[in-house]
Amino acid sequence: MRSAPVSRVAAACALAAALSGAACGSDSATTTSPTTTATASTEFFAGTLSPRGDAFYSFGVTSEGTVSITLASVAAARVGPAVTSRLTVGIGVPSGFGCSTTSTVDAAPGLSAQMTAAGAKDNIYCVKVSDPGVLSGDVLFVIRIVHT
Amino acid sequence: MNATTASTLCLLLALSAPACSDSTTSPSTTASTTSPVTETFASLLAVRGNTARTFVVTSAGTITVTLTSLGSGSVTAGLAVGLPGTGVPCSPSVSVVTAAGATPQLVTSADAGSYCVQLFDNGTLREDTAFSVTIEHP
Repeated sequence: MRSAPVSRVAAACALAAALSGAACGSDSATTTSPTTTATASTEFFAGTLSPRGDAFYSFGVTSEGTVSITLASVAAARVGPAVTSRLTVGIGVPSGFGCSTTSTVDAAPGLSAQMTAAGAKDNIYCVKVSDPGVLSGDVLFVIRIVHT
Repeated sequence: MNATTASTLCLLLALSAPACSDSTTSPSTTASTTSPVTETFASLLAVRGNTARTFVVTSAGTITVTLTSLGSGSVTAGLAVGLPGTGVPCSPSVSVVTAAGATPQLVTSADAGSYCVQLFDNGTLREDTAFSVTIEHP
């Protein structure tokens, strides 16, 4: 058998390779829609609470989602043991110079959220902490707020 | 190179080409057992002092803290778990005054986030004291 010239073999090889590559893939174009995921923000509300006193903190929710509130720490001093007293924690909306709560819970400090409010929308909300009558002196507190 | 050799190379090239398929092969990953994570916090606790270590919990779960050693073993100290970075070294959420031991002294549930363990002198130390704390968390 007579051999074909090298150049013709190479050309045939290149054509075959191109065709085999073109056969792969999908017939229809695929479009990928961008997905938007709301990013959770974490804020801390720290302060001093006096017996029978209260304090509140306002924050903005920029997209619909869940607000989680954790009364994370109550202590009598900057360094020392935790105070286990149950304080009243609530969520609501700012009203005048205060915070009008729509939901409250009495909670001892912990590291898991004691209050979760679903369906929070683009709005200004507030967290309020108050002493229901259990404190005998000032305490330092820290509340963690996670929201969208 | 003659034509026969070129034809042979072309055939080998064609055979080595990947077949068309709808399936995709993902790069293999080795599953790593990263949870729970165990960290050791060892240092010196000064008389009337305090010291803290921050750690990150990547998913909700249980934090277990064990003061495994403290000086000669006959002294006690305050041990706390709380939140870091709020104007104090470590804002305590739960705490206990304890001697060292093999049984966890603090066990608490926690959401994902940054936390701290703090050891503080509760007024009983007579000298700077070496300690070791083991922290296990998700």
